[in-house]
Amino acid sequence: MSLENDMPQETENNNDVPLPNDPLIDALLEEIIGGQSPPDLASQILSQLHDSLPTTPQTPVNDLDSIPTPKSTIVARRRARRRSFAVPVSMALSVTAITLALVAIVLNSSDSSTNNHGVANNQIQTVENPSTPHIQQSNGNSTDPETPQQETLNNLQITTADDPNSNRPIGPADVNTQAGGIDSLPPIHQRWQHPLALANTNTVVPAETDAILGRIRRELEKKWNENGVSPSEVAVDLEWARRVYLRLIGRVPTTDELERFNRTPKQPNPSNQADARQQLVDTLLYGDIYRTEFTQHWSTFWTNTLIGRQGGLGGDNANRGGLQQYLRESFAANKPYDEMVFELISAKGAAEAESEQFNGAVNFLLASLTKNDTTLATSRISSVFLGQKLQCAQCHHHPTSDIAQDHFWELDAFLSGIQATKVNGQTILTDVDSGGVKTADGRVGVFFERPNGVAQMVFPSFLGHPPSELNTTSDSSTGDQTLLREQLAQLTSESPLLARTLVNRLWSHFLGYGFTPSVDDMGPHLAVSHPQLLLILSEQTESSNYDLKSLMKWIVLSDPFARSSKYSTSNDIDSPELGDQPLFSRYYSRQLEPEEVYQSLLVLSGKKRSATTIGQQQLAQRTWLGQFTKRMETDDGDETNSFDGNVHQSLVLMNGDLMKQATSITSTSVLGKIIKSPMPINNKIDHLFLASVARYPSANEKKLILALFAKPDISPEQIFQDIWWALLNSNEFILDH
Amino acid sequence: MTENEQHKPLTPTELIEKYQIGIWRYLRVLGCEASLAEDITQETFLKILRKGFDQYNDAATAGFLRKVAYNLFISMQRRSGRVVLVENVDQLDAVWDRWAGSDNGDDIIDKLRDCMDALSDRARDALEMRFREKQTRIKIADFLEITEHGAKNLMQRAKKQLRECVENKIQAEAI
Repeated sequence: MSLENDMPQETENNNDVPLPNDPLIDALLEEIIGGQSPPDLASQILSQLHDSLPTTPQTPVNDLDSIPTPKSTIVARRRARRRSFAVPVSMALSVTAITLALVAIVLNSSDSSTNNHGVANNQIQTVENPSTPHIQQSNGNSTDPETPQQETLNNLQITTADDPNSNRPIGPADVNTQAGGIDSLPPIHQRWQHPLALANTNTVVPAETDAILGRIRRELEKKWNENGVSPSEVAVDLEWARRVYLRLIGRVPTTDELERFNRTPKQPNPSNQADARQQLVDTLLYGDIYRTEFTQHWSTFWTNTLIGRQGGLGGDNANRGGLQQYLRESFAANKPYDEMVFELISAKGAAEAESEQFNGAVNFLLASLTKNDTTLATSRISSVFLGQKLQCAQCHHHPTSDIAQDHFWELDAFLSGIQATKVNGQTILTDVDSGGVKTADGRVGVFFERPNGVAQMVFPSFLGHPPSELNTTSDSSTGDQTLLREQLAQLTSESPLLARTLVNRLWSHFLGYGFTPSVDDMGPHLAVSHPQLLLILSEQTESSNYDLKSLMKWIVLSDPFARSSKYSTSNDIDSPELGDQPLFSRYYSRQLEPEEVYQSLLVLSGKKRSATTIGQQQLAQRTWLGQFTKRMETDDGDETNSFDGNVHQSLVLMNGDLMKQATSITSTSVLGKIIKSPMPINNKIDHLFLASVARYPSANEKKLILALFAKPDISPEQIFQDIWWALLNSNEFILDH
Repeated sequence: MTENEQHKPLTPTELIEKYQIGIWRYLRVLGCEASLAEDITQETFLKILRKGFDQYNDAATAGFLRKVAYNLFISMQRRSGRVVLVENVDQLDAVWDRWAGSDNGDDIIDKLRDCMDALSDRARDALEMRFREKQTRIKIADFLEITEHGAKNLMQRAKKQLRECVENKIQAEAI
């Protein structure tokens, strides 16, 4: 029969009833056309049969009955996201499985008798049998392998009691980690090493600010020319000043601050304008008057970056206030960023400020530990500091790059000694010399499961670079696990990736978009929009000893930061919001972060902020923000943020207590001061606009407002209050533009 | 001597090699992703090799293996909280039994290949884009210069015709 004539003509009639899916034909077509051929599973199934243990000696009934079968492998495969020695249940399963595999290997290699299928026929003891492989604590007391206690996880070593050397830890002689043994399967991917992971010896001469600004401009111009784009006009002073205040100290400028900036002489000499802008930036970065606000803003920014908006608020072991205190002190001292990163990764001590052992930096890792499961901590270190999003490699090789599952777990192995404990109600982060699994030569490794259920052991390695290449002062090869975390801290803080990720993150903060679609993912599979510019800024950041304020200054004084947010036909193709690579030919408008809205309204309500009350203020801010963010309880520590222009946000802003305070007429509020001042109405209206949206009202706006004052039945106070409320609830106020 | 007595039990290796493809295909037809089908196929053999069973003849062994795989699939769906449309699965099970009850499904694959040759070029292009290149319906529609709905209809009717073609071939052989 021929289908040629039977085939219906394709129709565009939308009323045509669609036919149901046909999974039977679909499955066969996927095989015939899609190439999904049936796999040959014989060797895998037989291998698993080999590795299994019978619960009791069995007399073969027939050929098939003589072969023991392990427990369900499917369930074990579903646990690929679990770290073998982090969770009690998975640890018990993994240790048992690995031990069984080892026993099978030993049996297979010995002269023990086999049945006529070549399967080991030894009488291997059960868990209840005295010769069962024991999970033994470091103090020598054996424990029930089915019910390991979390507190003892890091004190475990694997031994086999029926082995002549039963009390020695398993070593390379038992587990061949290179060829054969439990991970004898060949690696699926060729070994990948990140080319920029390790510290380089190139010395870059620090450049002057003007030279760096010139390079930024030239690199951007190249892209503009390539794309036939002309940048937007330069933003007017008030527009520029508003965004500088928002980006550097996290709030809108007051009228006084804008007028002071406006009074700085700028004309007719163009260089005076640059001087005035630089002067304002220097004041915000280095002036004593803004020290508190600067440290508060940036401690909030980095706390959110490190542990999210909900981290340390009861859902984990961390104390958010403790981390913020550490960050405030670090920013107040202008601590180099690489030093902060080293401290955050290697910190030991107590989470709470009340403790004598207080070290606020421990809260970064404490917020990333689930009991002693370190997978989230590994993910955060790799993404936040190194720009390598490795989460997916927990379970499988990266689908679009050469990053393999091994890379994630090798990085995770650096954290195998970490331990969080509660002592007298206080959370202490420290390291113990008994986490992970130790080989006889002192190396420490961790196990993970490949998607096919095979257990694999890996040792610390930094983005593919083996220990032999790691030149660190802390030598983990001695077997002292308490040094592992410090080694990771050193490798991370010295890696060129640290500067690249920092530059990308801050560039994104100031300009709305980074050089990559996600600042946490700068992996080899994603193209960088301005690679040369990223390289220059990264090298200069390193040569400035990771001075954060210098980097901030370069960006806020750069050409794209000074451009207007208005675009024209000459640069309307510069649309990163549509998924294109940003060209930075204009300033990208975006909604203020909730913290910035909060701080702005706080200032407009006349609340004073001082160093002594900053802790309480950050607590109040957290409470307010809590209504917008929620933990998603994912392995990646994701959160939802409903501060995205929805109805909830609108209602809170229009009717919330914060708005009531900001629009109240008191002796300290901006509105109250303006109303009570002897200025004419015209000037008062100007002040309201300046304080909220940093511009003067247009002629039309002023005309409409003045018309309101002509109405006899409304008091001037009420009119001012209504205008003020409307301004604070306008899109213009909520946008950084 | 009966047929059952004459049947020589297969070794585990022979058993796996003989039936694994059929079980995997059967699971795929039930709606399993390739990786899940692989998992359940392994689990099926591990289960029956552990417990042991009497091997009467090829058809009985194949049917028994499919039943174990079927139960594992349903059990897994239940554990993962998915609603299992038993009626639909049963229908698929019945059709597959009729189509490939006595072999691994190789014959049906051959028949389907033959039927593919008889499809119109446009229908074959659409299926090629869908199954080989994993293209979306929109891209397929663009390529064929028809609407998205038209592309969907084209593919569904092509699959219906393929199924009818296979059924006709099976019936022709039965006669």
